[in-house]
Amino acid sequence: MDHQEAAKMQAVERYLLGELPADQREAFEEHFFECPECGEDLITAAIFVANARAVLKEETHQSVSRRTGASNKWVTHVRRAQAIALAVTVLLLALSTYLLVVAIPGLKRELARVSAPQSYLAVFLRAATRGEDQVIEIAKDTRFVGLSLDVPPERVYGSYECELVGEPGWTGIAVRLAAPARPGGPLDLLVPSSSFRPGRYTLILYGVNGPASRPELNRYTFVIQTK
Amino acid sequence: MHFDQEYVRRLIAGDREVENHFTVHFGHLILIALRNRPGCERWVDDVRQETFRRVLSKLRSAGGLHHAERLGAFVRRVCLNVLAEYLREEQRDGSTGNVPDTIDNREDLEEELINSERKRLVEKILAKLTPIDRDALRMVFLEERDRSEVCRILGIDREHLRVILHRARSRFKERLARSRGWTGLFQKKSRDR
Repeated sequence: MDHQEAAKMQAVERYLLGELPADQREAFEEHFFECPECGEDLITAAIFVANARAVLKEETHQSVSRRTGASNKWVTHVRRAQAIALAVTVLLLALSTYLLVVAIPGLKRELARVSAPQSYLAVFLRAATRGEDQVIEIAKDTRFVGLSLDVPPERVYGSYECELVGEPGWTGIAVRLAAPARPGGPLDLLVPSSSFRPGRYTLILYGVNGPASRPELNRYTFVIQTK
Repeated sequence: MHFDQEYVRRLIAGDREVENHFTVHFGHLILIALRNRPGCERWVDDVRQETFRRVLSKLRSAGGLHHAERLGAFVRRVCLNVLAEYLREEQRDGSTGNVPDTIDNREDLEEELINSERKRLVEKILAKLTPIDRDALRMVFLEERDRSEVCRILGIDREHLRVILHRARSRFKERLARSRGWTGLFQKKSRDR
């Protein structure tokens, strides 16, 4: 094989691609050892192939790393979402359990107690006058205090409002009451004894005569004591 | 430089430039030739060393090399003789030993051909290839797939594959020359063969 022949048949490329049959491979090998130009071309091509292999390999590794990284980010995101969902589920489960086992049965028991026939402390409140305040003693097991008020006969309204005011720090109670069923009858207010703590209270009675008319009718002052 | 009397004289005299050229040029050619002989890559370093030793010994001996222009052929003949001796010894001993994996061995051998400057130039060349041409080089040289399969998958023929490689290595040679102000080791000489 001479140089022209080698160049014409693209011997360098065929040799590196493994396309030369055995006899031509042998002939080209003899030639490139002797021909400086073909030898140099073959070396340059071999250097190119070796470096291209290295570059392509690095690119493949980087591509895999990028895909893995992205995949890892996605996996982290999914795992975080799963963890949050699990935490929410556990919280809901705990809340449901508390409601079913503790709160609702407790409420049912309370409702049953309230709904059952029971006694209460009935008190007829006197309008505030000079002198000692009316004392109401509430026993420990008393659940309700019934306060009855006499309505001044000259002041009859369609409905009434009561404001119960205590000492500073005590949350007041405001209640609207319908007029007594029997004209001249008392107004009755049932208050849970748990609303009271020992101290002085004033119940203010208002007549309601429209949204803008709410005249004060009477005041009833009393002292709560527990026993 | 050309393989002529002057070259041989300077090689025998120990001229550093010629010695360096001789070992690099023929060292690469021996590497390429042995890589084309499966199972022989593991002896590249030993064969190179022994080949150079015997060639230089012969050149410096009385009589030396009669036809300086046949230096390349002589180097090849000595290389093949040394390789044959290694093969015979192996067969005689029956000791194949642990033959390194071909791919790993090839990568070790190719290390001497690879450096960062060359990789940088190759990256630029690869970047300008079409996706098909780039895939072709990757499938042939990195994945080592059968050439026919590569052509079938990419819808190209063998001629196109050769053209891809030819253009790429030509561009590589140009860029290498430009980056170093290198005009090559050989001056063009009229070919009389």
